[in-house]
Amino acid sequence: MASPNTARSNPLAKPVPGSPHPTSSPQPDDSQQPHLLALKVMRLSRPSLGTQVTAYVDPQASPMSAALTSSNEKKDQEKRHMQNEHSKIDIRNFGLGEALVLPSAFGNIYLGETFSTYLCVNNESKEITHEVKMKAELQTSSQRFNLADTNDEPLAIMEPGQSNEFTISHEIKELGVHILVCSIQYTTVEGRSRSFRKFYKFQVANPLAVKTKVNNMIDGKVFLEAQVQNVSANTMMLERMKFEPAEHFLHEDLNFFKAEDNKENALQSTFGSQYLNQHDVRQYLYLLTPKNAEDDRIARTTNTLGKLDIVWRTTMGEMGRLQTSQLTRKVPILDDLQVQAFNVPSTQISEDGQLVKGIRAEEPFSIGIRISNHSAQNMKVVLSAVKAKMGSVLLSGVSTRQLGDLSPEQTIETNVEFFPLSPGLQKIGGLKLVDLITGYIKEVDHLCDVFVEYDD
Amino acid sequence: MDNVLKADNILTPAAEVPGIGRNSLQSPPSALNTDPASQSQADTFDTIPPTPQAQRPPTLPYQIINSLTSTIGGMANSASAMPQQQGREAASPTSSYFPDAPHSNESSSSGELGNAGQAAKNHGVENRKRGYSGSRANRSLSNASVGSGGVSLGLSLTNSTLFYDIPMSDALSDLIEKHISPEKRPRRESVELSDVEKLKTADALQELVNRKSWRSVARFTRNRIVQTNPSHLAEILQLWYVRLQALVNLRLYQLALAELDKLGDLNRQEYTFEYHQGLFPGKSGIMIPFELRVLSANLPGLMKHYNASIERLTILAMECQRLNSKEDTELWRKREVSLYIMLANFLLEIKDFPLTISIMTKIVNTFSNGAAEPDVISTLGRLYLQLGNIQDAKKVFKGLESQEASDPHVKRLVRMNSALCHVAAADWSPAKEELDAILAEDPNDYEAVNNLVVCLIYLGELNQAIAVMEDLISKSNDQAHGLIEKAVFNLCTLYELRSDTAMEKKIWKLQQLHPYLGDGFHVESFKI
Repeated sequence: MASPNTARSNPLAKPVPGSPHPTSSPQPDDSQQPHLLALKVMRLSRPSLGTQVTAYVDPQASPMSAALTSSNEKKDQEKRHMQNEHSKIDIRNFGLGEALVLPSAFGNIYLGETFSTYLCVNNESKEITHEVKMKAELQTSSQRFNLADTNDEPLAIMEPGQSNEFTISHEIKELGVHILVCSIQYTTVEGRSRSFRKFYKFQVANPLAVKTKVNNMIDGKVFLEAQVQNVSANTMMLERMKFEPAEHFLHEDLNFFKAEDNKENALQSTFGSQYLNQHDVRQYLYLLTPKNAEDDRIARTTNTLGKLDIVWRTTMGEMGRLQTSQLTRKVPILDDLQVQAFNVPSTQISEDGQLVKGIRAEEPFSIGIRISNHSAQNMKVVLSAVKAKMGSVLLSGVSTRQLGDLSPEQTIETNVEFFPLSPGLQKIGGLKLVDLITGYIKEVDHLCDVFVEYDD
Repeated sequence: MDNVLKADNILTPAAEVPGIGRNSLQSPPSALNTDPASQSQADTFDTIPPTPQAQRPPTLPYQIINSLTSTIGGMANSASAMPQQQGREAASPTSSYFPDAPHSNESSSSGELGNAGQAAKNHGVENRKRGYSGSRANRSLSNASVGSGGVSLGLSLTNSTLFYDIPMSDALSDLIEKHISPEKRPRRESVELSDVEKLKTADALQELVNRKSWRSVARFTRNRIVQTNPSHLAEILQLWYVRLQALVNLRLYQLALAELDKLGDLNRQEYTFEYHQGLFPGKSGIMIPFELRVLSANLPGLMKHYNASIERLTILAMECQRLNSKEDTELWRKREVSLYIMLANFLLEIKDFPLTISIMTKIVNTFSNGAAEPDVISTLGRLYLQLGNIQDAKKVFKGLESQEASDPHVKRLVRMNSALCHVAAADWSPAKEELDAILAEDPNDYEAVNNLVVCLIYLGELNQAIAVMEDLISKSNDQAHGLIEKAVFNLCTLYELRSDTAMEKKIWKLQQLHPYLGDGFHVESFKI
């Protein structure tokens, strides 16, 4: 306990406010003192291969230009077989070397990536500290993740200059502001317990923007277009872009094709490469068919289609993984009567230009029409043609025909003959279906398209 | 039915785009290379105005780049200008650069070539009008006086006014001054030019280069150029190349560009052997050393104008292709491949990955001997890894593993490649094992040591990492700058991670290394 006279000259003791003499308190207040331990944090994104600029050495270099390579380098290169006289390629000129370089900045972090950091607790002072406890937490706007905690087994002693290191990693699953809170608690030699906290804030953004467009076909098939745009700051290598359909659908990935010269029958991607540069956009196409062909009512009326599973990589394999939420569509309204064409003749031309099969102008042809009853009541259906609404393909035969009774969910098929008047791509339509029981009318303005060949 | 084709119909431009299968689906947008970032880096080369005289002279850098581009246009023009100007009387040139250049001794040889000389002169005048405005660039060399031939060219190339002064202090010395007190400052080992003056040029240069004193190299070449006999054109040009390369190594790109500009259009008539038949009887081709042309092609890219370099490198590569079939096939093919590799460098910078990969793959497949070249294959694999494509990298590396396991160089490559694959997959322990295996064979494999240090960090062994790295740096004084810069950068990052006293440690390191760094070191590696 210092006397008032000497206490005044003690720089560390904080004067107690309100008292004329700075009396030394039983426990000197040292919250202003620097901490004995220091905490350093570094984000461990992947290292990258460093680039170098090498001067070009000509095979016919004059002695002067050859002097531009130092003797040591020449020895080194000989050692590494790079001056192979038989080699036609001087690969030294390529900038990408073998040496790795640590990340220079925090960089950006995106949803789906793994956040890994390196924490280093260092004893900067000249005193020994005891019972060092470290705790690291990641706080988002809604949750709190405990990443590392040594409260149960604190470090008994930390010598001056000693350091203790942790590597922690966490997969980022939320957007927005994340705060890494690190708290260190230790006991000094005198027995005082001190602690401090550090906050590291970073933002997590969305790396991809996904938009969808749905095309519902009459027969229950769905063409799903997913437009994916890279809105991150890096180029992505798309390792995996898979569509997982909902349970009622089978899916076909339409983003591949068989190259003509490909002997192994391997599939080639339509996009040509897997690299998505910044701001690039791609549209992926998927075909969904109802699993249960007979009872596809659920498949037709469901609004969930499936989700996209995306895995990408950036520099030196830094990985990110995202799954979109269920992609939905507006439910197509199911008509009570569904009309569909089948057995539509397709055109086939032989090698010398002769028409093998197909539709010729002014020659009749027939197609099949399938009519389904999707309502809950019985129907009595009559098919008729409205000449004013038919294009150049006219109905050949009786303009009205009775199709009979249709119970709910029943389908009937009938053959109808048509007569094309002019060549070209023509539509078949202008049909009308009437239910005699309820009076429900369905007008089919466009049943299908056919190609009519010239009649030579 | 109006079957007559109206005249209007022919003249109006097509209003309808031929259908690409338009239906209710939107046509997909173009996939790649719509990168607006790369377009924003597009330089202003494409917008050369037709009459620059009407403009205000722009600030120096732009103007120099402007004139360099006009030389590319000039290349095509000179071919076409010649036949046209056969009979044209030369317009009186604005002040001839060498009013008293000797016309006598070369007149015989240039008699036949009088027309060509005239054409070159006219072309030179045109060239002048086209791109040069502003002070210094006016004194270009493309205006050779008629009939003076090689000597005048030699004179023009050795004129001491062509050189710019190199700044005496650089980033490294600034840093030293700022952070280290005068008494502790280390002296940079410098070579007195007088020591090497007596030696033959090539030997002297080798001396200077071994000590990395590029500044001295530049001064030395300047002195030699001014002293050289003007008729030794080949030697003069080679000296010029060495000087420019030294400037590039010092990272004084603007300076190099300005001096290169003084040489004028490297593709013009005067620089061919045919033009100076008196001095080089029977020879044909371009006098300019190929390395100098490569340097001039790469220089815009080093200043971040990547598109310009890509354009020039492609033109050079096409020329190599053309000359491939005539003679010296091996040589031109080797040069062509090197040009492709340099092209790939710049394409990587502008992030055109598919094209980079296709070039490198083509090099691996078509240009190699038939036997797979391990270094080249490893480079392709590393490229894939840098882009994140681990699967393709592994495929490429597999081709190497089946090769001769007896060659230690190949074994080391295979291990390094495998280590890098593990790094990409974040398997740090297996990576460390592979690197340990390499170091067991050769403890002085600097890249392996550097990568080992990186692995140690990710495994959480900071102290060991620092120790190994310090050891590496102390041993690698004579290594190429590229590796030391990376090692120093990594080490300074480690220091920062270690403690608050990082700054002192970095400065101490700087002091330690300073005598050995030489000129042109990337001082930013120290992160001070």
